[in-house]
Amino acid sequence: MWKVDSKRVISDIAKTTYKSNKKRNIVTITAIFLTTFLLCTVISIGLSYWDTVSLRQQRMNGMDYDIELTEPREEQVSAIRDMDEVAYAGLCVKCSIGSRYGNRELDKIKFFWADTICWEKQVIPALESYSGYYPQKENEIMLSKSALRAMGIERPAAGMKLPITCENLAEGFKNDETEKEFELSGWFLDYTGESKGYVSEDFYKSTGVRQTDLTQGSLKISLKNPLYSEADIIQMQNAVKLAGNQIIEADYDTISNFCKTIAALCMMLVLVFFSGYLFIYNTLYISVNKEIRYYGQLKTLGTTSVQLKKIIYKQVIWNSIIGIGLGLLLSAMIGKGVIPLVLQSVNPTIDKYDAGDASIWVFITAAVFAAVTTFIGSKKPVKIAENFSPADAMRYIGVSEKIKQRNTRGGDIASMARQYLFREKKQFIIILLSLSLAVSLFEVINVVISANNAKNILNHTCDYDIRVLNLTLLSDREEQVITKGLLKKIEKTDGVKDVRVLTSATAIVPYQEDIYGDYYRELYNSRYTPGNYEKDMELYKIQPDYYSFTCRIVGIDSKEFDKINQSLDKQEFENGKIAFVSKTFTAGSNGIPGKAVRFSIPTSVQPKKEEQIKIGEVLDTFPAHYSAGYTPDIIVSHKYLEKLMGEKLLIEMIKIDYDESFSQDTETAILGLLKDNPKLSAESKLQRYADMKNTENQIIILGGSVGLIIMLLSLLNFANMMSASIQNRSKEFAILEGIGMTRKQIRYMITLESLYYAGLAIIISLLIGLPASYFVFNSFNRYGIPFSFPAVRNLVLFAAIILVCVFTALCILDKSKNETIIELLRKEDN
Amino acid sequence: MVILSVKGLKKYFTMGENIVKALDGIDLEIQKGEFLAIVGTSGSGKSTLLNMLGGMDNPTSGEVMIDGHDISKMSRDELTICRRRKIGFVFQNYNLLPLLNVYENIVLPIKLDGIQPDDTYIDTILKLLNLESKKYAMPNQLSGGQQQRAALARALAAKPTIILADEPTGNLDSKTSQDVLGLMKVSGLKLVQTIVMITHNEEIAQMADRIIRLEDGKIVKGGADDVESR
Repeated sequence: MWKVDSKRVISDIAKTTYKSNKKRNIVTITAIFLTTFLLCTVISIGLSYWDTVSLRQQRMNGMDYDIELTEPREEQVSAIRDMDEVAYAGLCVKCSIGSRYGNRELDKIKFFWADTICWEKQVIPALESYSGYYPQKENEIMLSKSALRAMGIERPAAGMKLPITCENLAEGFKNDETEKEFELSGWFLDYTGESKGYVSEDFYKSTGVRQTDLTQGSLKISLKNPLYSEADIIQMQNAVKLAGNQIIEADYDTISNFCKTIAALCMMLVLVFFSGYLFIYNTLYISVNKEIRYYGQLKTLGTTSVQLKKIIYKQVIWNSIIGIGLGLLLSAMIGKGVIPLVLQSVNPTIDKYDAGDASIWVFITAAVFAAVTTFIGSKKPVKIAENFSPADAMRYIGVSEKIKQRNTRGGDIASMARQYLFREKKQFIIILLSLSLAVSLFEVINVVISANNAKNILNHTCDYDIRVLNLTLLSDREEQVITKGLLKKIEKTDGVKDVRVLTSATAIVPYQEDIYGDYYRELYNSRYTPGNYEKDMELYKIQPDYYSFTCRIVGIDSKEFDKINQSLDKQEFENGKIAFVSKTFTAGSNGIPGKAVRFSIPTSVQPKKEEQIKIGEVLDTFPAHYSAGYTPDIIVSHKYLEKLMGEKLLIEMIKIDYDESFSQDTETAILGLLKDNPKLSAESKLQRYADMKNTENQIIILGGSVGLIIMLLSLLNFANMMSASIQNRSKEFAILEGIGMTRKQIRYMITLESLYYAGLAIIISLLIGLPASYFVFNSFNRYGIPFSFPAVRNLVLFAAIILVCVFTALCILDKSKNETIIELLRKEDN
Repeated sequence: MVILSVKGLKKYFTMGENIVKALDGIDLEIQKGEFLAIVGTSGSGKSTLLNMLGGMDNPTSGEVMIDGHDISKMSRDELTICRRRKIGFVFQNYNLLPLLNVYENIVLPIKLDGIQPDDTYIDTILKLLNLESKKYAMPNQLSGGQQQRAALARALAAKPTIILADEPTGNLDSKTSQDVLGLMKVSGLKLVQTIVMITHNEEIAQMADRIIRLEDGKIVKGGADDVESR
């Protein structure tokens, strides 16, 4: 056989074919470009989004560490710092509490001392911003913005004198108050919403609090590898020899949570990659399908299958180079130019280079994936072109599968639309899967965005819009600060939906072995043990009004009851027949429910009279704010408590719900009613949200960009598929018109078909997307937010899909409206 | 009564720098119930004329009247409805819809008009065209001849007043061709249908009431002025 050098001829045919198919190549290039762009942008913006969400979580925690050792001894601190697995460990001690500023009561502002490691490596990274410096002199103090707000200081200045009444937390000095004039050395903003401050080492030492005092000192440990198991912690515990009540607080679910997160991320990546793959495959399939007759002609002229393959692959390479190049370029422009600019405009403190800091590997991965996908995607259509006999190819009508005999008596427009849909089952499945996956991905991304939305998190972590607290309670100057007049004004404020009133008093609960016996035994065996069980119980029996054994009795209204109740009868509760108890130091119910507890209220109308109420349910949460001793708090109806207390009943707090959550106008109006009263403090969701604004804007922009890009891809996928489908069938439409189907009827048939496509894709996307969203949501859900499907966003996408499907198809059809039937028939035949 | 007429009909195509005169000033009148055969060599303009008569192509100039209506004054959809109700068209390459079976292809124009097809009549046509056993077959399961007969059945099914057929016997053997033409004639007589048929076959052309011959886009025999051939 003679060796024939056909390289040049093949190359020439490929070039000629390529040049003459400009429109089809543009569609293919668009698919490759969009997939590359999608991968690159979604991954790089997704990473930035993830970083920002993690940063916000860190700021909501207020400190960046992995585990903590409580009440650490000096030698333990040194031992832990020397451990190989420990990156660094910072010491932090709660040493004092600010209870009053001038004449303003404060809601127990905690003052901490942090060593240099803790401050620099664990606190600063978790702050959104800080001004000034860590306190150096004994009288210097650094306060959180929420502490300053509680003190009524809106515009802090370095060096400000702050007379604060402090409670010393040193063991043996409980409730010992001293007034101290601090000097403000700085202030900071985190997202904890807590009022707190940092003091100097000299001040800390002067309080007498020791780092080993129960619940005051802790060593915050940052590990080199934050993924640890229970065995790692036990090993560490053994190495540092824990004593007494010491524990290492750790989250043993770290590895399983990490695995869940990785699984969810993998699922999302699989969706991203697979939808990209199907998009390219789909487009190439349609593109090569259109060329089958042409390739058949080439075959009749003697082109071999190998040569045909080369002709197709050459065109695929050219399209890939252009598509991938453009995709990377635009992605770089968006990721490194547009997004950082937008982010900087909402948060000027952000570093421009941090905002769009996408790794080069993201670009490489996207390029390699798009190239590989293009070649894998083109394999199947190439095979079709190769395997068609020249005669079959010439007769090819766009249906490669044999159509089976069908005993149907259709022939009406609706049945034709259905038949066109299932024209080629394999292609139909691929198209539908490609569309559905893109939509599913959008659904999953939306759920992730929703799970990380600060408003959602705050709605779940705060059960009110604003809480107003009576600061005089538990002081020597208890008074009714939340008056009936104030309540009425608040209730009448525009935008206020509900006002829940919580009243409270300190109650004396005599020793009752049958009710609280198990509870006290478990408490004294726990790390929070108040001391010696036998000795204390003896004291309790003799002196039940000793502060350790008192509790709070809280009166709640029916609205609050509805919020917290799970099983109690409302009428019985209202009538004072049954109550809740709330406790935090032990787990489980300790056999308390079903028993009746005796108590008396020293500040009631009849201070000595012993009351009795049945306990129906044990709560792990506490609806009020102030607590008293170790005995579980009793929660009764407001009506019942009012009966016991009469005029002496004090309102501890009110919880206000707005008609529209996070309403600035309503909040301003309420704060206006409270502003002149230093004995009230207000804490609101909106304030915390405002503190988080910068990060939240970043999260919204990044998350929104990812969602938008995926939405765009889904829509373009639909547009591409529909336009190819209509273009492929222009001859059939001409025949239909020839035998009497009006353009109006053709438009109706296409509209029906588009609606079928859109409807099926939406149904399938929901079938895939809902379980996937649920899985991903649960894997990322760190705040226990209940799953909810972001219906509005998805409905917008669904509506857009339906519109795009219908309008793309109709627009493509309208392009041929000026051509005669014969012109259209000839065009396809040529 | 004239049911189809053309006056000064011209259709020119531009191919590169050349102008091809597919039809060059055709004048023609066709009476109701007339069976007309158009003959001519390949490229003489037969199919172009038939397409113009069916309103499937736009003339460069001239006038086409169907049942007294100037089709240039009709909108595209009006023309389609006119074609659906008045004309049965048999394409040279059949143009059956690949996704519909024979029955569905046949009844489609009727259903498009919102009318329920007369199944007895459809079965009669199918029987006469020897397509009974292929009623539910798909076009890709039919031979060329069967497809041609199915296309003819589609044209006849709606009982149109005009049948335009582009080589309806081109793929048929002589026996089947005779049967098909016989059916067309019987149908034409019974329903007073006008039949315009393109053919290469002189013998088949002889079955028509009138024959016109085209050459280079002009009628050279049998046109409006040719009284002799009528």
